[in-house]
Amino acid sequence: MLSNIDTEQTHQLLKALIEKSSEINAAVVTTLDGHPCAKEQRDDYALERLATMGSTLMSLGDTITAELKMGTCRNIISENEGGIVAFMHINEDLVLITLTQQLNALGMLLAHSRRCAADIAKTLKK
Amino acid sequence: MHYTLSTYALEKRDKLFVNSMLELTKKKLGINWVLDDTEGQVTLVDIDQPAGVNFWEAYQSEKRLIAFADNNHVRAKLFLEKPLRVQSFTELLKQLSEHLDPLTSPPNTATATATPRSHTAAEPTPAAKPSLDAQHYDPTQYLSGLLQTALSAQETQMLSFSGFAPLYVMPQEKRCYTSAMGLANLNPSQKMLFAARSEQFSCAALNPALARDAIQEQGYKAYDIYTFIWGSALLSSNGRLLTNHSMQSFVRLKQWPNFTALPHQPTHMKLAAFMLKNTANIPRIASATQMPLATVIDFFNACALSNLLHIQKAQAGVNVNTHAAGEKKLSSEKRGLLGNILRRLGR
Amino acid sequence: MGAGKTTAISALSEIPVINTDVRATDEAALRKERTTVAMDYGEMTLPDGQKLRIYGTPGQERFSYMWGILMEGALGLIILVDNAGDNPLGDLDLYLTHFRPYIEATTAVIGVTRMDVATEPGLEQYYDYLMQNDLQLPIFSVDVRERDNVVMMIEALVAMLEFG
Ligand SMILES: Nc1nc2c(ncn2[C@@H]2O[C@H](COP(=O)(O)OP(=O)(O)OP(=O)(O)O)[C@@H](O)[C@H]2O)c(=O)[nH]1
Ligand SMILES: [Mg+2]
Repeated sequence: MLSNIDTEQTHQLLKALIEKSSEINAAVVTTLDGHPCAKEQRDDYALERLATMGSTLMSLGDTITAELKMGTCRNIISENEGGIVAFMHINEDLVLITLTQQLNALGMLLAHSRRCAADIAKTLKK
Repeated sequence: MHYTLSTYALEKRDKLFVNSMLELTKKKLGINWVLDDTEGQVTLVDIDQPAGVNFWEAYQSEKRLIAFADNNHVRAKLFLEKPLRVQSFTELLKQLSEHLDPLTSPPNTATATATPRSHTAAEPTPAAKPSLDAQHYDPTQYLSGLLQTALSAQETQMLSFSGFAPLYVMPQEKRCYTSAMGLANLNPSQKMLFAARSEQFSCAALNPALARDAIQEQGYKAYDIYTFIWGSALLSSNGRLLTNHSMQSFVRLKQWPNFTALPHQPTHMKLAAFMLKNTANIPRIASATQMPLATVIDFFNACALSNLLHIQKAQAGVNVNTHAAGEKKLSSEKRGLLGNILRRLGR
Repeated sequence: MGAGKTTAISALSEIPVINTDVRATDEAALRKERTTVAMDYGEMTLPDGQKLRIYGTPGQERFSYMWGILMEGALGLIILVDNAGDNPLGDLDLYLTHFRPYIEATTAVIGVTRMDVATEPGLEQYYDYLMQNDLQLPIFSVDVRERDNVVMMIEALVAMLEFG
């Protein structure tokens, strides 16, 4: 589990992500086994459940890429009628899940989320 | 000087006939053959009876057996055709006496073993002896009964059976201890242990502390006492219903037998499944599961002695509620699938 | 959690089990290193060439959304309970309550694992629970590291589907 300080730093980075990009509605960081460590949102999503389901989906993604021998799974994108959800690895232990309600914001969502994931990975390494 | 003959699973009139023919043999040929149902040098087995076939299979390699039947379907070397005839019977006895060493000690006085409470030392009179062709299963004549007695008397005991590590019975803990054995697949000699009659065991009462020391020293494994009561009932019933029970009683399993700790065959799982969900009498269980009556009876006995059954006596005029007794109607496709799964698992 | 679902499926499957276990980060980590977050998947080829597909669910309750998904169209259900867990009878209650409609329509088999690690509760207490809840289900003490024990549970399941 992440210590309290880590959680606080991670939370700050999520907060910055949401403030900076108005299209992103929610972001949550979860352990691979489905425990949320930090979350931030403009709306009212059940982010605990999303975190756990995100870990399930990410592990299925990893299983599929391993089966196909395509290296590691970078991210999983779910494009839906009401928006887009992205799941990606932060490091060996953590997953970032972000979502937007804008149907045309996929590129932006991925770009901002990837940078955020890299920032979180960096602070945790220190 | 005499020779001894045992009989197994014979019908009453055949047994009477055998008895009178032994007399005749003595008079006519001067050879003294005596009936001894515990320790005969030769055993005459009615292999047309299910119990007889089982006995045949269990003992053919180590006892001298004479098969007795309409025809010799087990290809026995020693065979007597039904009905018994004076000529062939006396002829066979004459041949046998030429091959056997005659006994000198008076018949029916089995030699006492060193243990003080040996059953073999009890010298039962022939009439009081368990009758092998009895209609009913009397557990007191088998290991299951010895264990039940130990349980009710709360007496720690050591049971010895030739060729096996001793069985320590600790009724206070409801356990037995002996060397490890794989219960799922009993080997033939383990089957003999479970099928054995009580007089084949010698029993000694023990101080519990002494027993515990011995168990620890030998590194014996603990078994639920009901593992042995169950196993004995299952393997020694030979299709005979437990005394004081009726084929017409309606029964249901109180709980699933913990098969991982019990000697059993794959078929017993089917019986358990039916009896867990349905209240029915033995013939009905047999027809619903398409199992031989003898198999159902053996299983019934084992469950009954392990306190696993709800039993409702059938009463004339009383409509017993046959709980959900409708048979499952499976599509043949599904039945085939289930069969394939079992086959794949080697069952 | 940790009852041995992944282990049991590995004992039966003829393909390497497709496994979604990840490193456990919570109290679970104290007991074992990895836990299933999506599913286990194994296969057995039947004599007629059909494939029997065996799915294992994640055991931890927060993944219960997977239970329904994996039960879709299932032939039968085997529930494993870790007797060395904090509240094994509570776990059983959780699973049986969740799957009750399915169990009433079909059946289930219960395996109580790790009874060598924790002897209490004994099987008696499980029998009482089942009786109180009017459930007639096969229940075994099992060690799923022994293939024979896993096979016995499948046999019981097949027997219940056929005759129960
Ligand atoms: N001592 C003992 N260990 C057992 C027994 N049965 C299973 N185990 C061990 O318990 C562990 C069970 O782990 P898993 O198979 O991952 O359990 P699981 O049910 O898949 O767990 P989750 O996926 O986390 O829900 C393994 O290490 C087994 O070797 C048993 O009867 N006795
Ligand atoms: Mg698992």
